[in-house]
Amino acid sequence: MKFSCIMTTFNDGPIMRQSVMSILNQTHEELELIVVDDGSGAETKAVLSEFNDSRLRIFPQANDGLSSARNRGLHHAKGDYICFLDADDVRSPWALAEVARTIEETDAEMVLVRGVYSGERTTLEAFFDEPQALAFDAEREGAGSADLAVRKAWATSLEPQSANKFIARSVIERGKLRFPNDHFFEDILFHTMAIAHARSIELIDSRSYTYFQRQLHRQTTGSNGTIRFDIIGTARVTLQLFQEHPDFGNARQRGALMLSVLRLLRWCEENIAVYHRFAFRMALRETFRGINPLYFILPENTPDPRDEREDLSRYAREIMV
Amino acid sequence: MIPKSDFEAKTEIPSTVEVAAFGARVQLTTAGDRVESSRRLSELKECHERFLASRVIPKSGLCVDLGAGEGWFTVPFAMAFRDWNVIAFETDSDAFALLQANVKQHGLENVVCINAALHPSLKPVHVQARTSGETELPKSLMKALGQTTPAMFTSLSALAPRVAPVTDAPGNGETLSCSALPVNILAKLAPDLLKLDAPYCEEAIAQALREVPVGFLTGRLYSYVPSKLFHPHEEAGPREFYLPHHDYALRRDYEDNFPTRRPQLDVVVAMYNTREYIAECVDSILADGNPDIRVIVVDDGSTDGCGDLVEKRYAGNERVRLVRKANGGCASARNYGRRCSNASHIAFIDADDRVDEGMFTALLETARYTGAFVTEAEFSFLNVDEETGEETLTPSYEADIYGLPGDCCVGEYDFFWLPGRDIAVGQPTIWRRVHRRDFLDRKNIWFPEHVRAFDDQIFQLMVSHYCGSLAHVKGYAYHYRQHPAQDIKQGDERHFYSFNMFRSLLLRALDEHWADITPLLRSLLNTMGWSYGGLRNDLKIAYQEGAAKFLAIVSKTFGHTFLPHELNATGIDGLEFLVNRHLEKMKDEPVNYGFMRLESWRWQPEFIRMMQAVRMGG
Repeated sequence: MKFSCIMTTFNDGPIMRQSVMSILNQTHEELELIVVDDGSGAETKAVLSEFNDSRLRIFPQANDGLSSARNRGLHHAKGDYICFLDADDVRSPWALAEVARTIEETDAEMVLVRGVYSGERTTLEAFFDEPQALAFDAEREGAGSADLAVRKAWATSLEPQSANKFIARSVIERGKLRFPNDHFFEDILFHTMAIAHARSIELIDSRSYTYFQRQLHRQTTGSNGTIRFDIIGTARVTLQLFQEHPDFGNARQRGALMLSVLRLLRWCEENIAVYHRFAFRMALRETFRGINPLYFILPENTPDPRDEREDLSRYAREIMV
Repeated sequence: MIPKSDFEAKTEIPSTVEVAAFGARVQLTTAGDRVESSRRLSELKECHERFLASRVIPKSGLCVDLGAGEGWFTVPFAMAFRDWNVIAFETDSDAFALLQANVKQHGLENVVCINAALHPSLKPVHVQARTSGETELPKSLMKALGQTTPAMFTSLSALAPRVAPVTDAPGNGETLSCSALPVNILAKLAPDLLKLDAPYCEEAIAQALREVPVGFLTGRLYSYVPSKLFHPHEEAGPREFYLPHHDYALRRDYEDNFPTRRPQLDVVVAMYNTREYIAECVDSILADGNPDIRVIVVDDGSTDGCGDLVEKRYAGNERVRLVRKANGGCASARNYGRRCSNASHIAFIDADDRVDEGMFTALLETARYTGAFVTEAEFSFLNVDEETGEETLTPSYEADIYGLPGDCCVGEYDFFWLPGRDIAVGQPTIWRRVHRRDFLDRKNIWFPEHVRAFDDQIFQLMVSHYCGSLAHVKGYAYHYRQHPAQDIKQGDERHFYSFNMFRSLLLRALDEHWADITPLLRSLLNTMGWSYGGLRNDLKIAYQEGAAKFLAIVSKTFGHTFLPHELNATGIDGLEFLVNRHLEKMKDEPVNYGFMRLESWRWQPEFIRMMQAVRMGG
């Protein structure tokens, strides 16, 4: 079982040492680590040159964006399964071994895992989507099992975080899956379509990665600049693609996607600079007018352990007025 | 002694001129030639004073003033820079007498006057050279300075009383004998600062100083000198110069002297499986032997062994460098080559093409003298008959548009200035251009690497917008090889890259408030028409719908109205109707920049492929 771990970096500097090492030190050793250097400066290049491990492959490119870099990684990946890790995050030592065991037991095309959130305070928490993971477990236990449609609905409801999934390369091929070039908030598209194309999914209780909220490290999702507009483009294409897929008929999965999209949109709108808000809304309204209206019907059994359905529906209506 | 050309000057008596330069004020007694006086003053104020104002020169050193006249440069300079020593050369005995008098009158003890010009035909002197930093000259050198000999010059009537050495100067035929010294005495003096006013002797002087550590050079070039001669040999150390020549100037600044930037041209050749052509390509760049032009061949993961061929063929050739990378497309190869380069100028050419001998020298020369951000050559289509192997070179369609010779020149090269917007529409021809690297860096112009077609068009459009105007050099052509089946002609999904390419430009236009986006929009419609025409039939619907929505969004973003005939000229069926339908739906919305942030699955090939995968039954 060979894994392709894809990591992209743009000037992450010394902080990425531990990210790289967290992959190279995996107990499951059959892997390749593809680092796409998205036009970093000398400091990061120096850090990258420190490692002496034939499993590490570095692909430089001129600064062309995170999505472009991830796509370059996908292009070069040779492993059976593919996963991602941001250059300032960390993969648990046992992560690949645990996933490899799951794949051997179940032959799943996609495995979704859980994470740790290292926030601004002292305590280490479970990652944001822990409530979804726990609610899925409860539902499966109650019903005795969970079919693919149920798994897909809950999988879609998970935080679209690139580190939380392992995908068979054949799924990537089947769906021609790529990240949206020129856009940030790229994960929602890839997450949604990977789940749609997967024919078998496992959601496992594996503490597989740690996401760091950092005070002194630039994080794209922390800006109030115009990149927050990118969510609109990404969301629009995600919804356009998904509504053509047979899974669109899975009302819970569709609802879960819409909740995720609305949550991201509202978060971006709340954080974009005040003087861009009107433009943000104009573009968003135009996007909503062009998608299938069924998206706005959120069934009651939509995966929603955080009870956001009412609130986000109201937000959607507000945009449309 | 040297005849004056100005009729009135012959009768005028010497007059006193107040000269203020370098923060010093002096009274110069001059020959009273008003034409010459104003010429001297403008050289002093517009060339030398501006040059010294813009440099950090050492507190002390040796300055040589060639063609000192009555002391226009020497006297104020020696007054202003008391810790510098000046050796002033003047061959005209009238002017020399006044020079000596002016020096004496201002009590300048740091000036030595030599009654001589330099002459390239005189035998070189063999004396000890001055050690850099020493104020005392070796005795043998002092002695050599006194041993002037008569040599033949011609008088330059328009520039009188200047004379040019009789070797190759276009004089008026009247020759005369003046006292002179060999040019190599300058190399022996190794001045820290050289001010030159030596018509038609400049090339010999530049040649003599190639390996001499002369840090600063200023003065008008009356004759064209190949720029590579002034750029010092590496051992000579950093050199800054400002050498006006007609309308332009050869110039090198502090920034150009950073060890990380070589003032040369790197030609990046992006190579992917072109074993058949690569040698012809590289050889044509090297053909004229200009050491200031080097080649970086980027092997973009080729599988036909062309990398090995280059490695072997150019082993030991310091002008050719091979770098290898994993395959990533033409844009990535070009960017990679750029990041490997430390040259001040850069070009990107295709590995199956070739150039006229001397083309890049012509472009670099024009670029160096004019300081142009971008210079371009002509281009021709190269067709090779598959059966007979016979080559035909057809000048491009531009030959009809730009038929006349250039109205500007640098040495033997003639060119004209082309407004940047003139290259916005039409086929991308980035391969026939030389770009200033600092220009590309400052304007953040790169080849977008995720775009597997049109990456050169986006590059060209940005250059078009930012460069102001570019120098179009006549008489040299790039040979653009024609293949029966060129990539993009397959009519596949790659045509859809044009949407996200133009969107990124339009977003830039919003961010930077471009005053005029009409060239961009003309190019957009042009590209759409071209793409649609060559597109595979099954993709046409998606393109048609994608184009309509895109143009509607552009309209609503910029408040721009596309004219019906513009839309119909694209040849996209019903485009005007479709655009209007979108606009009708949006008619209650205000014009707003937010619309440019929309995205559609029809606007990127990756999305198109994902949609195809979805529809094939996920």
